[in-house]
Amino acid sequence: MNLHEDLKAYLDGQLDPFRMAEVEAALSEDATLREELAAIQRLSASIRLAAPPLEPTKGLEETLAALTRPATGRWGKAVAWSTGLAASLAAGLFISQELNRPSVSKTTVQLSVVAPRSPVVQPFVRATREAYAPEVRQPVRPRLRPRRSHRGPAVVARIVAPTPVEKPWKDVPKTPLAMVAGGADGKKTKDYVLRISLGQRDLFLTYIRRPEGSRLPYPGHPDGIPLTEELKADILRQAEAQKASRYLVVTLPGIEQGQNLPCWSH
Amino acid sequence: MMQFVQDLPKMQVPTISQIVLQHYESVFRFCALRVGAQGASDVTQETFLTAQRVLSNFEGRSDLKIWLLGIAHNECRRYSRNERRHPNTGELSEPLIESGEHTIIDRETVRSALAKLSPEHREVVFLREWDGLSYDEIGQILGIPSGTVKSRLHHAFLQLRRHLEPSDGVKK
Repeated sequence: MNLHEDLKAYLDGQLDPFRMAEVEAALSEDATLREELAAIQRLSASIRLAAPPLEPTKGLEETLAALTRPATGRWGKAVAWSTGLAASLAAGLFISQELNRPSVSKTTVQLSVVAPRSPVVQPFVRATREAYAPEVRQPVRPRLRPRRSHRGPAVVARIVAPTPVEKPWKDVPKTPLAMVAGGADGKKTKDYVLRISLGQRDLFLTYIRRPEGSRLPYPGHPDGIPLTEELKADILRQAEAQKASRYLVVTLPGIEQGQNLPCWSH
Repeated sequence: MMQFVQDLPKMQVPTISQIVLQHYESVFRFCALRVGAQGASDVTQETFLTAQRVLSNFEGRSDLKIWLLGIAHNECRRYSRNERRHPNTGELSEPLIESGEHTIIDRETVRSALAKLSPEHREVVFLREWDGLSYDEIGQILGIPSGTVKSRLHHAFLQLRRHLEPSDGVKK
């Protein structure tokens, strides 16, 4: 992946811990990249300073009053029109029924014969019967606007660890079910990261490769523990057993119960 | 070996008045940055009226404030369309501001560079830099994945740097 594309996200702290570590490593080696980061930082500060000044808040009381009033504005008009139309149709139904009654005067009978045939009245009567005759079907309230569904991602739940964990945990990978674990000291987790992602039933285990070898150091194991197939299988078993749960908590050897770290799930 | 954590208690949605009292300032500020102070109170009111109508649809899958800002975003766009306005880029013109070793580019220059961005790119810049929202939150407001937010921000910054620092040798 192009490191340049991730510099802004790195500056904003929006990368996952792995990528953060990768970008940091690249920055420590590449002076050009550092210059580019500084330029982005300068531009970001300039944009923030260019924001218009804060306006004093206005209109709170009016908004509260508007919310307690009956529907007004464009929706109020729509409701009023609907009500008026419904009243007209009901009146039409009533009149048409009256015209068809047998015990009415001659004049009315003549009207009852003429009125349904009239091209002006016919659609009106038909619509009235279709929409409001109780034996046909109940009137359906028209939907004024298609219902909008919220399309945001699922809620990201967080379990607060017994030991406070700092910012590296804030931005976690967006996999369907993911856990980020590491040292109980939040500052160190950026360097020693274990991630378990259970997306579409695939579990993968990854870690930051340390110069001294493929080991996973964390508190209690200063030299780290080897990431053996056995350990991977154990973690996989735990993750599989919890895949229906909203949260995934995996206990690793050498970490006390109280040191279990937070995880996030979608 | 395993430890299960119980689900969080189900969220209770507050009343619309509580929501207004709690979030009016944030929504007003959000609108003021986009449509100016004159239209902000109208758009903010429309936002809460819309929120009142669709509150039953709120499923708690996002933060309530972000949900409101999503509505406000749509209302601002509607307002701008109706009024044939563009997002407020302000009228201030101030001299260069010195900050430590770095020279901050003056506001007018930045605003004119922002005005040259496409609306999609400009909006993510505003949401990130002016509103201080995370990529996830921006994605929820705009209805796009956070990866797209990252990409748009990257390209927006590339374009801004080209406008502002032509000799900088911007890399893709």
